[in-house]
Amino acid sequence: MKTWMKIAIVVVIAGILGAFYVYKYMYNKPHMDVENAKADFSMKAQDLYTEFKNNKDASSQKYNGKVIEVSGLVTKIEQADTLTVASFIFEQGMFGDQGVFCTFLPDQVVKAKALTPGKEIKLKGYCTGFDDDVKIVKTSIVE
Amino acid sequence: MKIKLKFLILVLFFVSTTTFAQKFITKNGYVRFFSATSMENIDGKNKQVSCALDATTGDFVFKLLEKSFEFERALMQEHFNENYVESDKFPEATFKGKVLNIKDVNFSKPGVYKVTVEGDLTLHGVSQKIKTEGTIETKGEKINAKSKFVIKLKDYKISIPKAVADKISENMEITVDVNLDKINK
Repeated sequence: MKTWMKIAIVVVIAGILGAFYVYKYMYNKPHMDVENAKADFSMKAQDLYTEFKNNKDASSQKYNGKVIEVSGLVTKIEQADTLTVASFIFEQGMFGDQGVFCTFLPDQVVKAKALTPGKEIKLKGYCTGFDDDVKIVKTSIVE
Repeated sequence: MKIKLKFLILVLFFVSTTTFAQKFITKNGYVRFFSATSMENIDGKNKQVSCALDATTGDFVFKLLEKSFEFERALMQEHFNENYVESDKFPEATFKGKVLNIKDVNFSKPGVYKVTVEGDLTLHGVSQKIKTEGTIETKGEKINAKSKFVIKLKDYKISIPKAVADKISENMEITVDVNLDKINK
């Protein structure tokens, strides 16, 4: 085989691998694995809520898009359409209960439904921000 | 007799005000952000939309967090947050307004009622007036509200990256579908 042909084959293979890589890991890169991610913050649900309430902008900069572990006495476990939501409620506002609202990952739903309101729990999820409530998505149960 | 009558009027007054001060709320409303393009569809879903409606005045508020939008592909979600709505700078979007013909909706009679709503949509830090049609379905303690309307990205100063500008639509279709629960206040 001629040298230029070998080079051409190598280039083509590298190109295919490159395209595959781009497709798999960039174009189709997976969503963040929140369940197995290391938490950026770990705190009481009450403290997180109060911090957001007192200073929304600074807290948004600090916590939005971060993985947070929140702990506290869970007020409710509810099914809202297709989502299972655990809430730590601290006061009443325009939209009723206000506090920290955590929606569970699909594989956590069975375990989540077994949680008892009023018990101390620790959850981990991805904080999407504050709209009178602190919203946490892709939640899993830590303990 | 007179005292009794006065008392009756007073009772009626309180009964009527309490029944009329109806409010419906949810924290799990659904909003979809959709745009068909020649490359692929941009399709984001948010199932954690807060909404409150005052059944007497027709005043309503929608609030949502941009980061709560979920896309099939993580890269699109990233682009949406970083390049489109810049959710680090503008984490929230709100829609505040009024159901103009709230009187046409009979909350005590189950049915589907056509409504016209008008309000300010704040997205990407820019507020614009929106007037659109929708429906309110009443079913006792619960109601469902639906609407679909189109916004222009440039009205909200959302710029499309030049490289893909010819492939991405200027228009975004917003679908709203919320189930609200009655609260007594």
